Amino acid sequence: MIVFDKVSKKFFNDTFGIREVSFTIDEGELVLITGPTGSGKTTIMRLITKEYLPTEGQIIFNDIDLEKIKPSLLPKHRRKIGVIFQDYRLLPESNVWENVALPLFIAGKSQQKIEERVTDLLRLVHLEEKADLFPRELSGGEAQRVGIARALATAPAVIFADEPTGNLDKDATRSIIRLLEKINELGTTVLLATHDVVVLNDLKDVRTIELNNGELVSDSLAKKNLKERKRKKEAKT
Amino acid sequence: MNPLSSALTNIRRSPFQSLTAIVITTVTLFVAYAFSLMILGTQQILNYFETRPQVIGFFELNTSTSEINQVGESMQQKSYVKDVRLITQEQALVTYREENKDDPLLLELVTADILPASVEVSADEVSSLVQIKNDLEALDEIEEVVFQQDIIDSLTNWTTSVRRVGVAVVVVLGLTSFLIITALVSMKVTHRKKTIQIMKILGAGNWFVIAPFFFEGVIYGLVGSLIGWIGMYISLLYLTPWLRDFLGAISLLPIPWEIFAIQLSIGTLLAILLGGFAGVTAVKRMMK
Repeated sequence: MIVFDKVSKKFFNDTFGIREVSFTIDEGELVLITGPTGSGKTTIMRLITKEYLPTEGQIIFNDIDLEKIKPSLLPKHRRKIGVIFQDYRLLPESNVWENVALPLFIAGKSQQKIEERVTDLLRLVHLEEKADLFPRELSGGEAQRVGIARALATAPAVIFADEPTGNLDKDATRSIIRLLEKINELGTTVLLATHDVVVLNDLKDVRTIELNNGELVSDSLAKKNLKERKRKKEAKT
Repeated sequence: MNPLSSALTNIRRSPFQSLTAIVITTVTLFVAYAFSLMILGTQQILNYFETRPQVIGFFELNTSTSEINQVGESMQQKSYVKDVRLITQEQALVTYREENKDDPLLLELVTADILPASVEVSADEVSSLVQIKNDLEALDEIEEVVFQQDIIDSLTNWTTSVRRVGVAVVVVLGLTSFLIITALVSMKVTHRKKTIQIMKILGAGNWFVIAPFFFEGVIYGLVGSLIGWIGMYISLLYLTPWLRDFLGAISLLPIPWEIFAIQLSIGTLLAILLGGFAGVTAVKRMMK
């Protein structure tokens, strides 16, 4: 689904965001991308959303080379990726309902579809009662749940969560992790960029890509973990 | 969340900035509407004077009626002459008496014998007046020619000046409006920079981002145009009695409603384009 083939991103001041990074992520995977601050986690997200262009290498998303996506088709590409930010990035002038509905408005969905989808998503993140509140009236955990609901709005193939628990306490962090796991179990590919110890401990058995100083340090066996998780899931049902 | 309602929300949330934009657009459009009427009026005045008898030839006192009629006929045959009017000595006396009816002393002293007959010749175009003047001066029967070239020249200059000043003022005010709307919308765009970035990451196309600001500019233009026109119309109604006295025989008022309709349509269209373009310019600059 996502292929990074010797991808490097060099910035104007000759520093590297990432250097010759290669990995493949299959559909339905839950992958942790970890590493200290400045290791290149956010750069990977920005390369996938094509906010950045790679200096070298090739990125394939859903069998399409990102380099070949024309600027006019970029919005369509971005709608396939749900992004969750550490600082939530909710629109302060819009309430919870409007924030979740925003990607659907952008995608040009009908009012009825928007109503239905937003109601479902708010139920999923347990925020039905807070639909009319503004971001400033929410706790960190609630704001992040709104961010997750917004990321899921257009039913994207991939969710990229960039340090989603960076501003949250332990309980809220665990609640967000459970939610992301649930989303993954429902079939969405989830990339979780984090260096939060709580998350790393809770998701020990998840495939982990470790970065340091822009270079890929390690990548645990993804396929083995995926099979294992599928087996566990089948056993549960 | 449609672009129009977003634009209205933007306006509502920054009332003073919006008011500034509307006021400056209103002033621009008010001046533009007022000047367009002034230009139209001066053109009408010029047309009025062009259709009056502009060259008057006074006959020698001993000219016979047949000679006067002959001059009239010969002038009428010229292609550039619009109209010829002959004034006999008796008709001149009637006019003289009418003009001096309040002064019996002047009336007693004057008889038809001392007033010359005259011929009043009007032209189709102002440019033919010199030719008519030359024609009359060449005739032996004509003692003196009175020619209104200086009046026409000054009127033409005046009309041209009004037109030039009007266009210059409207262009300067239009540019000012454009810059002010651009600056105000730019401030709002800067304020919403993060929102725009988030929208772009969520897959918003350029139009989705631009549209609310475009409509905001359009609303400024539309409202400014309507208020400006209403202001101009009220001013015109207020000034109508004075204008009627000032214009005298020149029939300029009332102005036909078709003129107002054309004026309002063109003005509003230009104002909408001005506002919309300013809004788009502001947001595009910021998006770069």
